[in-house]
Amino acid sequence: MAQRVESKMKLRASGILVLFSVFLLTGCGDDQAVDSSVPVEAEMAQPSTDETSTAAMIEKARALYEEAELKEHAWLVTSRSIDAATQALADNDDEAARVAAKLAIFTAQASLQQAETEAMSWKSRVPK
Amino acid sequence: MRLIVLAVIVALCPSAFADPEGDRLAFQKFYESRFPQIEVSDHKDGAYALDPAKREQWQEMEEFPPYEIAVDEGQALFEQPFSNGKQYADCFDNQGVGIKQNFPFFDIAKGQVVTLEVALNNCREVNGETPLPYDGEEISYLASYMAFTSRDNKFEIQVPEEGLAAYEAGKQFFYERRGQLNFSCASCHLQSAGNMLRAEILSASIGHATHWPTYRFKWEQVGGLHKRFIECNQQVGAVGLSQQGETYRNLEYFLTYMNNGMELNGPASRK
Repeated sequence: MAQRVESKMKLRASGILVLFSVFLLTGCGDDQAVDSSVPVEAEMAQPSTDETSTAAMIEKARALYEEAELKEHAWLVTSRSIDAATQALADNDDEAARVAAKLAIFTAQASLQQAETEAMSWKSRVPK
Repeated sequence: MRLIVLAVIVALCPSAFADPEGDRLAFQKFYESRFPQIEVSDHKDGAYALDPAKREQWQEMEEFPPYEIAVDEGQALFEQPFSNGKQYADCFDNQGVGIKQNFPFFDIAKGQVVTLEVALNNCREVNGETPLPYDGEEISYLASYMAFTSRDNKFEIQVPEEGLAAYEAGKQFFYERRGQLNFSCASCHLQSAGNMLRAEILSASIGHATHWPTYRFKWEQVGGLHKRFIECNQQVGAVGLSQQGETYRNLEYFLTYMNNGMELNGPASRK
């Protein structure tokens, strides 16, 4: 009985090893768009609190954009939204500035998620 | 245990298992299957290889090629001596004539990919001249002339062991989705090659490196491959990278290797 359990465990462990190796060799094989189940959307779904100043939101967007730029995955829409938010804030249009800053944060987070996903999934597209 | 070790090695050092020639053959086979009626070598004409009507219009335009001035200007610049009396020809094999098929190459001493444009600027710097801006006309003219003298030669790009990481980086960039539209180079020019994008046909990547610099009617001037990379990236909503930066040089290296064996036909004209 104990031997059977042991051999079952060995078999399971080998299976896991093979799966793990295949994953590393081929990537996750996910050729889909950016995974929408990521925490990015959950975070974005929360309305920013009134205490968060518009300037701080723009600053956050800028920091995320720079991170995406470093990973060579920055999006044009983020850059344009940051510019729009900055301009609106300078024009004392706080509401418009916050809308643009939110969009900038959202798209910057999505671009970072894309960079993370693509670091592996590109492999599945190489002709064999 | 062996599997774990193998998996860790692959994960940490993908270039250790890189196989450029295997990649190229699979790449070529993909287009042979996708376009069985078209010879792989015909893809050097880009989208014009895929549509007879557009090809006819393009051939008519080629009777008065818009890049002709660039070739003439390039030759004049190429032959103009530097202030120390030397010329561009002194920096290149065969005096710089008919050599574009060997570019880009991996410079083992410098540990980086050298494109023709970078080699031209290296030549200037060695001879005490200031480098030319990569988005300027002069460097495109010089490259146009050198491409013209290399017409009909076939790409012979080498990937030494030291260049495998650069090759793999270029390959990764080619297949990685980016931008708000979440497209990779391969999304358009491999998976969707031959399909229509609005009024245009998406060309095959297998001929993408053969015809640069190119006079694009949209640009109203001759420009290099990296200028087109920027445009492609922007078209999918991504921020373009700098011309002749490491990333685009690696991408050019990979893409040109995929074009090995194909004839050069630059400079060319495109819509």
